[in-house]
Amino acid sequence: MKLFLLLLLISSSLCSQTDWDRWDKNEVDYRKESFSKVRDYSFSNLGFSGTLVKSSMVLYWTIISDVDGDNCPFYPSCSAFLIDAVKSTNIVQGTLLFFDRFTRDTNPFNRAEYYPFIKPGKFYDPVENYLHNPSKL
Amino acid sequence: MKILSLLIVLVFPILLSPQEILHSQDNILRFADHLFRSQDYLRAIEEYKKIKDFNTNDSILFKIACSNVFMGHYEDATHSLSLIPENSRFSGLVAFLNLRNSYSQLDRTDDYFGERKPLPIVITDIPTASPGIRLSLSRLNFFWKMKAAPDPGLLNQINIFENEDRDTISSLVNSVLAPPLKSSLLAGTMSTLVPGLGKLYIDRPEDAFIAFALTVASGYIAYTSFEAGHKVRGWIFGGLGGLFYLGNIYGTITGTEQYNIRIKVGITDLIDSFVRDKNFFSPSALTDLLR
Repeated sequence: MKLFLLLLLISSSLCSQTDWDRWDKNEVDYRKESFSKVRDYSFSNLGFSGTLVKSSMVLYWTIISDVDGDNCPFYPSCSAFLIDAVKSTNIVQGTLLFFDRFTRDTNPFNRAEYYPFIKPGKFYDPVENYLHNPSKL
Repeated sequence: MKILSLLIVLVFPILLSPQEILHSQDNILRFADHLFRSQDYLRAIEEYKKIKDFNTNDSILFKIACSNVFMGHYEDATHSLSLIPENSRFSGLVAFLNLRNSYSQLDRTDDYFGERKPLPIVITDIPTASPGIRLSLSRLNFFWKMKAAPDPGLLNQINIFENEDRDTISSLVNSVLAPPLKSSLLAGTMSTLVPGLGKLYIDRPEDAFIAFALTVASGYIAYTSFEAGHKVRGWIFGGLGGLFYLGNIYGTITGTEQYNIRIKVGITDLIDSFVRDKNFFSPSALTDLLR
């Protein structure tokens, strides 16, 4: 059973990785990118819970993510999603949204049906889609 | 002598013929009409405004108003249509264009599937208008009511449409009155009972499987850890399992809201594309004017 669970987790994380796509030949596109890939390391306009979450994310970015590379198939990435979710709601709702996002991230099947495709090779899934606000959606 | 007579023969007719001024009012009007028929509405408006006393000529005012309506310049269209006098021969078409302008302007993100709102504009029949214009007005009025304040009574008015369109229109009305929405409470309850079942309910089977697998896997690892006496590991995986479980419930509820909004937007797109395909049920008097 343990072996089965281990194989399940490894195979789903392997399928979720987009590492190998990074080295594919990209079409040249001289258009200005509509969103910035530069991470926001600042702590401005954050409450206590936001600062707590942001500091753990900055640690994660520095130690793991910047070394491992940009592997998330979504934009914004899951760590940025957590920060946005906590900023937009509160730490409890934000955490639950993050875990739901993580579940959807580990799902390698059929993403194109549910999320719009945004350059460069990422699916667009912002926090606003999950904030109980039909006009924003 | 020969040269002189030749010159007289050539020059005399030119002197007798009327000198046509290139930028005469008639030429400007002809050019403006050509631009209007070619659907170059912005330039047509500019040319029409060069005509002297254009704002007392109801025909020119009507074409300017048409151009604004067709370009989707809603406020300019409303202003242009208000300039046309009520006793003008275009009064029926003006009422039609007003309705078309209002219909196009109604924001589709308004939640008009919710409570019934009073009609912002009351469209009255124009007895002096031709039967063709009155029929077009009633047809577009039907869709205006469907968009602004849908009511079951609309189904009784379907006989104003052609036979071939009635089935499509009645299905559109039924989808507006009773859209196939899903209940977020039911979806949340299903996810509470079985992790991922709510996601299956909102047509996300892949997410349902992953949510179930992650919750069960974390819970199982926590259970075996506690059995083996590894309390720290047990609490870590137990906590993760709990967060996956709660996150799945919350995500199911928000996912249901997304699903419902997608359904509503799909229905409004269907209605709008149907009305556009039918050219807003424009009367033949208007389509003839555009040729």
